[in-house]
Amino acid sequence: MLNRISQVLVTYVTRPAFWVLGMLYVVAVIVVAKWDFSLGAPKQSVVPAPPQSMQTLNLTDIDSIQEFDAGTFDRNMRAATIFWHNEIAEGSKPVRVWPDGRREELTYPPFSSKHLRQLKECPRLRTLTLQYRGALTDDEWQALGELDQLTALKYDGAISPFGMRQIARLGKLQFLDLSGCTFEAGLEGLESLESLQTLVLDNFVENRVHVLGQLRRLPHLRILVATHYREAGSNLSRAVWKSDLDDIQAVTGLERWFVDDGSSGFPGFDALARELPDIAIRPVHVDLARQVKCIPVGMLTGILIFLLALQLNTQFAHPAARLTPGYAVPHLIPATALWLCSVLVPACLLASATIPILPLLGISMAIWLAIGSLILVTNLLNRTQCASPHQRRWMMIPIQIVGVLWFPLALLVMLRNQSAFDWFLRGHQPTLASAMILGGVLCYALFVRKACRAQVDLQEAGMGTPPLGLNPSQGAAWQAQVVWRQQGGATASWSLLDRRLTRAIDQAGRPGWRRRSNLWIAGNATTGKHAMLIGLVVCLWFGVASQLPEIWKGMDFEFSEVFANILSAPAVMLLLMFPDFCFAYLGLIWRGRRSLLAVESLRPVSRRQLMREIMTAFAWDCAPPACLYVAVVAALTYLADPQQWSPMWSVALAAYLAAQTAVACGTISWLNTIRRGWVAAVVGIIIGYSFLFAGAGSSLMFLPALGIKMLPPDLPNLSHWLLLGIGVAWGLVAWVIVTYAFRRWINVELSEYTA
Amino acid sequence: MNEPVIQLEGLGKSFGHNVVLHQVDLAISRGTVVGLLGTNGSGKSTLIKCLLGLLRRSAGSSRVFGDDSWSLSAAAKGRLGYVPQDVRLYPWMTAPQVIDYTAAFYPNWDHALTNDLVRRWHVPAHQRIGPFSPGELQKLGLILALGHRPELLVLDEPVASLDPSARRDFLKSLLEVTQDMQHTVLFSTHITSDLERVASHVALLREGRISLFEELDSVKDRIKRLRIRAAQGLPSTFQVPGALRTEVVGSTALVSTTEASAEMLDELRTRWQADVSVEDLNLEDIFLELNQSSC
Repeated sequence: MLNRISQVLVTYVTRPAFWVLGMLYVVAVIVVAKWDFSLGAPKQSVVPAPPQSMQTLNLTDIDSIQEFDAGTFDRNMRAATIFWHNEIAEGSKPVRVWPDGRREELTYPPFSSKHLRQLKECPRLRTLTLQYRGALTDDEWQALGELDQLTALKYDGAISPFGMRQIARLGKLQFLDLSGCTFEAGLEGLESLESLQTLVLDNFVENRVHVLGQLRRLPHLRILVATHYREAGSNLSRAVWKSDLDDIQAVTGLERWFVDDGSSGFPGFDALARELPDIAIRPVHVDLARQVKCIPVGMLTGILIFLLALQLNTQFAHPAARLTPGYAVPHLIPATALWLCSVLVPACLLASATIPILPLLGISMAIWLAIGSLILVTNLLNRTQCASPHQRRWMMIPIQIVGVLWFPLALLVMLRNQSAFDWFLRGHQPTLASAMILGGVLCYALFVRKACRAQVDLQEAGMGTPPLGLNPSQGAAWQAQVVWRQQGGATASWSLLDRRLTRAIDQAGRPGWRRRSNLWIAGNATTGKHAMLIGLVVCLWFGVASQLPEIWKGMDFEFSEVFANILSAPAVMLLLMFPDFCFAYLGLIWRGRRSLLAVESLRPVSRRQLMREIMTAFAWDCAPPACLYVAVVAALTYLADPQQWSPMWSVALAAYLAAQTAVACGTISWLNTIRRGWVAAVVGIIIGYSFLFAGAGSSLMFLPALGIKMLPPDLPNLSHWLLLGIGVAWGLVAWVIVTYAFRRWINVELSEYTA
Repeated sequence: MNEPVIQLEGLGKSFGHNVVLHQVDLAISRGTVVGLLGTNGSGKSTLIKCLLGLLRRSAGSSRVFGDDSWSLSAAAKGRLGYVPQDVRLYPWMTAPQVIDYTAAFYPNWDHALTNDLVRRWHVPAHQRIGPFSPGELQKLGLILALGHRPELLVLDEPVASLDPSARRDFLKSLLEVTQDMQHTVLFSTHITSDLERVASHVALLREGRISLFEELDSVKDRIKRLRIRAAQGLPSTFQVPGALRTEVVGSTALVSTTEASAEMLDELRTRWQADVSVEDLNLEDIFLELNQSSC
C-alpha cells in the first residue's frame, strides 16, 4: 500500500500545476497570516440602523439644501437625511474653493418648520434622519409630528415633553433611534406607538425621569439597544447593568438586547442569559477584522480545492480507475490529506483571531462546502448532463443557479448580519457549527463519490477520456469532437435555437464536399447560447452583489422600487456591458478551435473564402449576445426620459453597440492569431480591460437621456449627433480591427495550411 | 475449468432511444484470440466497454472470469488488461514514471518484459508523455496493458496508430504473451491482415448483434467464392445455396457462399454446363462479403 501511495504522490509532485498552485497557496497563506484586517478600527458598532433606500434625499451639502429650500426636489424619495449647517460656530463657516482658487463663503438658508412640512408632500417617505439639530422649536416638533407616513426616525438632540408627544403621533413608527438625546421627561407618550419594534437608546442623558424604568410601557418592543446613559446631575456615563436588569426584564415582548460587553463590570453573556433567559443578549460592538479575514481565507482555500478537483478528475476520468485493482484507496488517501490541509490551514489562520474550535472548523468546512459544491455543480454534473442528449437538462438550470448564487448570497447574509455572525464566531452556536462541520465532511464525501464515478459518467455521456493535462487547445478539440458526436441530441433538445445547426448538418450529410465549415457545425451546439447563459449568470452575480444590499436595507420592501431602480447607473451599465463576458467566453472557445484548422484547410476553397466562412461562423456565434443589444436598445428607448430623448439617441446607441460587438469579434479574431497561449492571455487581459473601460466610458455618455440621477457630476450632456459620432468612431475602429484580423489570418495563420 | 473467460448473455445497451447493442450472446473460452470485426458505429467499442464495466449495460448479463462486469473483483481486475481506442496518460510524466506507477498496483508486474518492450518499441524513456505521437502513446498503452501478463487482454483498435513495423512487433509480442494457451485476447480492429495473423476466432458485430462467431480457419474453409462461367446466359434470379452475395453478368456469375460442397459444385456444373472454379477468400474479403450480404 505504501508503495502505491508513494507512486500516486509521484503523480502530484511531477505535475507542474501542483507546484504552481502549491506555491501560490503558500504565498497566499503567508500574506493572509501577516495581513492586518482590522483596517484601523478593531471594533465596529452593529447598532441597528434606520432602513435606507436607494432613493434618499441627502440634505447635507449646500446645493441640495438650496434646491430643497426652493421646493425643487424629488417627492418620490423614500428616505431623507437632514444635516443642515446653518448654525455653525463663528469662524468655521463653510467655504467652497473653485478650481481657479477663488473662495466662496457659503450661506445656508435657515432651517425651519417649513422644511419639515415640505416632507409631508412626499407620500413614499419612510425614513427620516435628523442629525445635529440641537433642539427643535415647538413649531418644528409640530411639523415633525405631522409626518405620519414615517416608519423610521433617527434624532439626536434635546427632547422636550412636547417633542416626545409629537413623536408619539407618528403611529406607523417601527424604528426609533434616540441615541445621544437629552430627555426632559423620559419616554412619556411612546406607549401609544403600537408598531414600535426597535428602540435605540445609546449614550442618552436623562433629567427628571429614569428612562429605562419607562421601557415597561412599551410591550411591543422587540429590539433594544441600551448601553450607557447619564443620570441627571451627573457627568459620568454609567453602563446598563445589574441595577437596570429589572427594568429590561419588565419589557414583556423584548427579544433582543444589545449590550456593550467591553464596559467595566460586564458580567458576561452567560450570566446575563441566566438573569434574562427569554432575551437574546448580543454585543453592540463586533470584531470586524476576524469576520473580514474569513473571506480571504476562503479564497486561498479555493486554490487547494481547485488543485484537488484537478487531480482527482485527472486520476478518475481514466479507464484505469475502473479496471486497476485497488485503485481508489491509494488515490483517495493523498486527496483526503489535501482536503484536511484545506480545512486545517484556514482553521490555524482563524485561530489567531481567537475563535473557538467549533466555529473555527465550521467556517473552514463551510468555505470548503461552498466552493466544493460549486465545483461539483458546474464541473462534473454540468458536464455530463450537458453532454448527454438524453438527460433532462432543464433540471440542471435551477441547480446551477443555486450552485452559483448560494455562496455570494450566504456571504451577503453573513456580512449583513454582522452581529449574528459575530455571535457565531464567539462560539455561542455550537449546533450550527457542528452542522457546518458535518456538511463539509458530507460535501467532501459527495465530491469524492462524484470524482470516482467520473469515468462512468463520461463514458455514459459518450465523451470518452478527456485530455488529462491542462492543455486548453486539446481540451477544446476534445469538446468539439464530443459536440460533433452529440449533435443529434443537441438539435433535439434545443430545436428552436438550432434550426441553423440542423440545416448545416443536413448539408453536411449530402453527397459531395460539405458546403459549410465544420467549425460552424461543430461550434453551434455549444457556444452562442451557452455564452449568453454564462454572461447572464455573471451579470446576475454582479447584479445581486451590487443591488441586493441596497434593497435589503429597505424596511418595507416594495417590488415597485426594484423596477424604479432599473434606471440606476449600475443597472444600466450592467445591461450595456453584459455581452462582454459572453465575448470573453467565445474568444476562449474559438481559440481552442484552431486545432480544427488543419482539417478545414483541406476543403477545396480559397483562403479568403475559408476565412470568410470562419469569421461568419464566429459572427453567428456572437449573434445571440448581439441580439440582446437590440433588446437593450428597445428597453432603454422605452425607459428614456421623453424630454431628453430623440430618435437619434436610439440610432446612436444601436450603432455604438453594434460597433462594440464588431470590435470584440475583431479583437478576439486577432488575439487568436497569436500562437503562444500565455502571450495571448497577457495581451488579452490588457486589451480586455482597455475595452471594458473604454466601453464603460462611452456607455456613460448615453445615460443622461435616461434621466438617471446617480451619475458622475462632471458627466457632460452630449448632443445626440455627437453620440452618433461616438458610435461611428467605434465602428471605424471595428472596421480597422476586423480587416487587420482578416488579413492576418489569411497571410499568417492559414499560410501554413493552404496554398 | 471450462468456464468461459467472457460470457455475454442477451447483452443490450441503449443511449436513450438509440439502441447500440441488442441481445448480444458471446462466450469466449480460455486461450482463444478473438478478433472483433464490425463496421464503424456497429458497437464494437460499446461492447468492449460494457464487457469491462466501463459502461452500465441496459439489459442481459455480462461476466468476466465469472464476475459480473459492473462489479469486477480486484482479483478479476488483476487478471485483465485493457488498451482503449484513445490512450490518455498523464502528460507531465515520463514513460518509466507511468510504468512504475501502474506497476505498483500489480504484484506480478514483469519489469523485464516492460523494459524489453520499451526498448524494442523505441518508446522515448526520458521525455514527458505530453508531446508523444499517437503511435508512441499507443505503444505505451500496450506496454502498460501487457506488463502484468494479463490472462485476458482486451484491445480496442490497438494498432490503429502504429506503423507497419511496430504493428508487426506488437503482434509478435502478443503471440509471445499468449503462446502458452492460458491467455485470452479480445481485440477489435479494422486491419484484418493483422487479425488473420494472430486470431484463432473471429466475431462479427453487425447492427448491434453478433452475426458470426467462429474459428477463423473454419470461417475461411466455409466461405468461398465461386466463379461460374456458363455455356448460356444466366438468369438474373440465378441463386446458389448459402449464397452471401451473387453477381451475375451475362453468362458469368461471381458467388460468395457458405456451402461450397463438392455435390453442390457438381450440380452447378451439370445444370448450367458451367466451368466452376473455387477461390479462397482472405479475411478482409470475408468481412466485406458478410457485411454486404444483407444489402
